[in-house]
Amino acid sequence: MVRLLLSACALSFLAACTSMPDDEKTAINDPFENTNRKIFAFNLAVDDYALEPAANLYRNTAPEPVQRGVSNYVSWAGMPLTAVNSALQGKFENAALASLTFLVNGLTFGFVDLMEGEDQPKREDFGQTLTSAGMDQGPYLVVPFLGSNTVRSASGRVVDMVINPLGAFSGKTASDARTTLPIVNAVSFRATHFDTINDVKNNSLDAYARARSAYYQQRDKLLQDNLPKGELKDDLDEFETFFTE
Amino acid sequence: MTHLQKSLLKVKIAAFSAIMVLACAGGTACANDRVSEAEHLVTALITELEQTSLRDNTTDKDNKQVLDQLVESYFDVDAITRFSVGRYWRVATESERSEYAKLFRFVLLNQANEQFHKLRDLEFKPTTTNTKGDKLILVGGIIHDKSGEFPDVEIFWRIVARPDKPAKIFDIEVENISMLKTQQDENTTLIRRNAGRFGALIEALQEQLKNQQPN
Repeated sequence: MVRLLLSACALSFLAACTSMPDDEKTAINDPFENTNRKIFAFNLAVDDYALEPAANLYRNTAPEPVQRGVSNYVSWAGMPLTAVNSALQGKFENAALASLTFLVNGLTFGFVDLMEGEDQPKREDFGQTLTSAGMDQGPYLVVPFLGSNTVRSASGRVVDMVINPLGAFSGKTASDARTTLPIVNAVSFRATHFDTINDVKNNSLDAYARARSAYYQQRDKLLQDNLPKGELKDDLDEFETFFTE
Repeated sequence: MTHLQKSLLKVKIAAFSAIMVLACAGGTACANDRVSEAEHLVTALITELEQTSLRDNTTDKDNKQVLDQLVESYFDVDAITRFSVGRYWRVATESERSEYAKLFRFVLLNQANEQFHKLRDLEFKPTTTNTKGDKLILVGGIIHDKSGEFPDVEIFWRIVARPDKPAKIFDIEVENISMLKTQQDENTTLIRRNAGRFGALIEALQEQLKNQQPN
């Protein structure tokens, strides 16, 4: 745990050291592009030889209700983290909703979403909590096996691993669940986005650039309500600007 | 102020108010027209796509021809082409621009054609429409797969609605990812990594097109 916290501190320090001037904050910040590309190539190879075949097998053999159950379980297992991070950001309603969802769906170990049709909590991670605290996102990083991140979101991932309340459960079953969850999550995610990810891999002029762009756009949307006032930006600006030029 | 002056002032204020109300109503009506036009454009495209995808015994060539016509009628191809290379459009020569426009269209049509069979069971359920500035309109909705193979997907159509021209689709945003912005980032990265040479993008597209040709 100490090692994990130290890694998080180191990553946060790196982000702080590389904070950019305000006028460059919207631009993609990728000073480690050459190294990132090598790691991206490694991740693609992992996908080619392990993840894609596993996801393909899963989507072709597991019945639809099973796939939905697994997806529900992955989502359920993330609720305690959402509750903690929401509380840290002062979003107490979301924290309460996440706790309630965790408790109610806990009756089925998360495999059935008993709260379907009700208001769903908005996912919150420690990277978003750091954003709320005003930490700069830092440069883009491709992490082996985990893919696209910024220094801030990678720091958040490390902290999330440490503070995850599921870690409080002891015993072999709980330990196995913690170990297998990331793998199950990866296969389930890959299966859900099978064609989209294959399209990026096979039809891109530059798969790295496309994946990076998609990551930034999705993350920016996710962070919209975490940005401190004054840093809020409208991503339509560049489209509007284009037509006023 | 005399009684007459007061009366004149009241008339002036009333006239001014009436003009303002009419102007605002006119503006709202105009904005509403643009919004309706944008919504209608998306619905019409979806209907045409659905009808086309339901036709049996169509060849790849037929599909490409239909897609080409749809692109021409519904999309602002010129603006999309220019936006997709960002600031490098300005540094490209005339011949590079026209070559790029041609290749970009071919590549997109080939990719769209590959996905053509997936359109059969899709339906669009509009949810919200927002105006963005005086030229752009965002038509939002959900793409629902009637076969149940794919989960519902949130989608936004970015429509250009200039006062003097028919509305056209400029961009499609799926689950918060703009197709056009992604294409722009990819293209500009490629040019940047080739020392700002626009020709490198053309060569990459030519190579991609060669790989897309059926063996």
